[in-house]
Amino acid sequence: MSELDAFEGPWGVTGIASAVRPSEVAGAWSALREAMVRELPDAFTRDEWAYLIQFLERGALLSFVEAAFGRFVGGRSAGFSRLATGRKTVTLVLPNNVSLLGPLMLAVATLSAERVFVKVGSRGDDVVQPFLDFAKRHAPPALKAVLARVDAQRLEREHPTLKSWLGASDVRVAFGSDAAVKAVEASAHPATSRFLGFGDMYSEAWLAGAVSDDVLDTLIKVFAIYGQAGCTSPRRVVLLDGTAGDLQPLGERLSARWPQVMRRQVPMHIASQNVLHAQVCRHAGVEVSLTPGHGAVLVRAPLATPVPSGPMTLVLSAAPLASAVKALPANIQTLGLSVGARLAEVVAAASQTNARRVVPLGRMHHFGPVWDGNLLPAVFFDVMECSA
Amino acid sequence: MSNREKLKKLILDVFLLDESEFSFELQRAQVDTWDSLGVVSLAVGVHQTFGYHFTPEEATSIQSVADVIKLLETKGISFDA
Amino acid sequence: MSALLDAPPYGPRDEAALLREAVELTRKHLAGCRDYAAIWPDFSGAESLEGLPYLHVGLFKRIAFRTEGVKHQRVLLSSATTSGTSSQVALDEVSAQLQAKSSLAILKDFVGEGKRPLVVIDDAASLRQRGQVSARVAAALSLLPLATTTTFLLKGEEPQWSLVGDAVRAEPAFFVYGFTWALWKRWAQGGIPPSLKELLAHKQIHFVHSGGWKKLEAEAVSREALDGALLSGTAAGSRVIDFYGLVEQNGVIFPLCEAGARHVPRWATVIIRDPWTMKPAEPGQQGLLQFINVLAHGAPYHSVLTEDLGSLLPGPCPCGRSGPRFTLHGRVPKAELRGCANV
Repeated sequence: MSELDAFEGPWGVTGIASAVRPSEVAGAWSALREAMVRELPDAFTRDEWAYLIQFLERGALLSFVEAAFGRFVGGRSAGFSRLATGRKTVTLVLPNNVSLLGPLMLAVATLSAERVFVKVGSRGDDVVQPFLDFAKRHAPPALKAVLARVDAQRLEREHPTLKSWLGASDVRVAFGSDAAVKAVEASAHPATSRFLGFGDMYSEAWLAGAVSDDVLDTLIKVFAIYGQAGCTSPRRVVLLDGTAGDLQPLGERLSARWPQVMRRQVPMHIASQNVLHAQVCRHAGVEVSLTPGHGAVLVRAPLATPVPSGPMTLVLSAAPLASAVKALPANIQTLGLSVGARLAEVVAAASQTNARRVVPLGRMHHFGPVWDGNLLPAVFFDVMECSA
Repeated sequence: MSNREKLKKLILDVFLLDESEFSFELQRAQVDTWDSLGVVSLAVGVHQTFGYHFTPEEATSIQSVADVIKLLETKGISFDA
Repeated sequence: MSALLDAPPYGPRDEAALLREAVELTRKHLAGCRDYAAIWPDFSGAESLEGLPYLHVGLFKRIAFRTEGVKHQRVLLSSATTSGTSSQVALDEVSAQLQAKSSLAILKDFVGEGKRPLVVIDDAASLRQRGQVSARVAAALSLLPLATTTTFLLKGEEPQWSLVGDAVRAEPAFFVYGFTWALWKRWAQGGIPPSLKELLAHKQIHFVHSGGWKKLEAEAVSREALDGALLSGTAAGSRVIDFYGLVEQNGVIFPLCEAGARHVPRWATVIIRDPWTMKPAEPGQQGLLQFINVLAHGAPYHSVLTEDLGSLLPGPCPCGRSGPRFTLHGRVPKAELRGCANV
């Protein structure tokens, strides 16, 4: 047997018996980072690009495989207790406005798949295509070979090419609205094909104890990247130890810090939309303020009060833990916590909810091997026991 | 080129600074471009130049050029003048 | 009725009277429209037009504002937008009269007093909708007082060129009105039969158009190309008049003057606001256009913050019209927020 990438866990050593070696792919992506630190494509913000550079580091990428098979121990040609084979063909279906999740999932898929098809948004500010364009322009030879296995096209959901990709894929991954995800799942596919769907999700931030300026700065950063458009973005902040009277000072502190944390002016249409949404909220009878530079709309409202959604509207509420748990919608995805000494109590309460991720506030958008309740390598690989 | 000179060159390159803006006392708060992208660019640059790979925690904890030196010295990289 | 409409639109302005009437109208809407009062609960008066409350134009897509105390007639609907939602503006008897008077006065200033046949690049069926009226039709209706006859070019999708020939044969001059895109597609590129073309070569035609340039830009058709195509093969004195208006400012239209500016009549004003602070901008500085007029009684669309960009022009206009004037820079550029497509 030729040398395989080997991963060691408590059950022994797993060899990756695919045509694709994860360590080589991870190394190839990692080498792209030298070019990435020198050029920021227009399609990305500095924060997004920074995150992508960190994500593509060899060790960080390999951790996706390590999460299932144990620590990477280099190449071996014998002594395996398990052999894992990457599912050969993967199709990613991405919406028009997909966030960094698009490029991230694409990179993860290349660690195991021989062929990766990507349906890029057919309109709008796509980030996947600009990322691939950048990668192709700057690819070291090893990455060129990886990219040759990727076919990304701007397609409508009904396009025959997409149907033929899905019809031949061993793994299908779809992001989008519930309806869009369901439609992709229902499209003809091989009987053994696996499906990962990431539909409409909601996220919230919970704060308890002293709320320091650092916590507020983190909250602002986490929210401002995607506003309400991000499934991992907090749409509401709940002060678990607070009262309604604490919300106005909290709003004032957030407003004061906002321009210091988000130094760049928001685009004009966002500023204008926020003026609109502040008026919509006022009409709905909730207390509302705009942050300086109209970067966001801050609404102060009890948990039970419906608040009109707006792309950059952040709702501030105060409620005891039990009420916060009770008020969570069924599609709760990420709970971002900064709860100090109440951590154990809050995590225990959160574990009884539908939440798929309970993470520190600053890690709400972090993409890891366990995503939305799925261990990703378990989807992308087949495992054979070979202890005989 | 000494390690101090290498670090200076790296800092100028990563944060797009002029010679006149640089000093070994430079603080993160004084540099606009020392943001999230600056932090990872510095980490990648240090890896290329000195062969040491900052952990994410180390990269974000660095608040000054002096911190970079201090950290690298603990990894056996000397910055003696 | 506003006395401001008794003088020509671009004559000397009475800013004090405009402010007085606008404040009074604001108070009336606050008292008669709960939806409006919820948004501006603290208004106690304004010392300048800049201090008047405004509604963001997007609200008219979400809320059917209606001020009590006037006799409402129809609902005016904007044309379909990319979002697929129309703006709704509640029209009333008083406003309808004021708005008709306003648009007629403005149009006369640009096309003269003479009445002549009107050809509308639309289907007459689009007029026959009960209780509501589209922006396209409303714009055509504003020309009706200047029309001796009205002919609709389209029946369904089919142009009725013979009807146009019949309507204009005996007249030296006539109007053609259509949305910008329709005028290009249906008239300039519409395949006018040779016999009619021959007839049109002896006619003075005033083409009046409104509506966006988006579709034309997509086909790389410039203003010069449109004007050139429309005016070729017409008699001397023919003109193309591009006017800008929005349903949320019904009755106040802004034709492009000979010097490339858009003038504001004395019963209205324009304020340019910095989108990041809402502070009024200096002349030359680009910002969001806010329009105020004293014609809107049926709902509080007398002061509207638009999503259109413009800048004020300093000094007097070479065209001779007085009062504030602006350059329109188009819509605020939009980009979708990134995310997981779940909003």
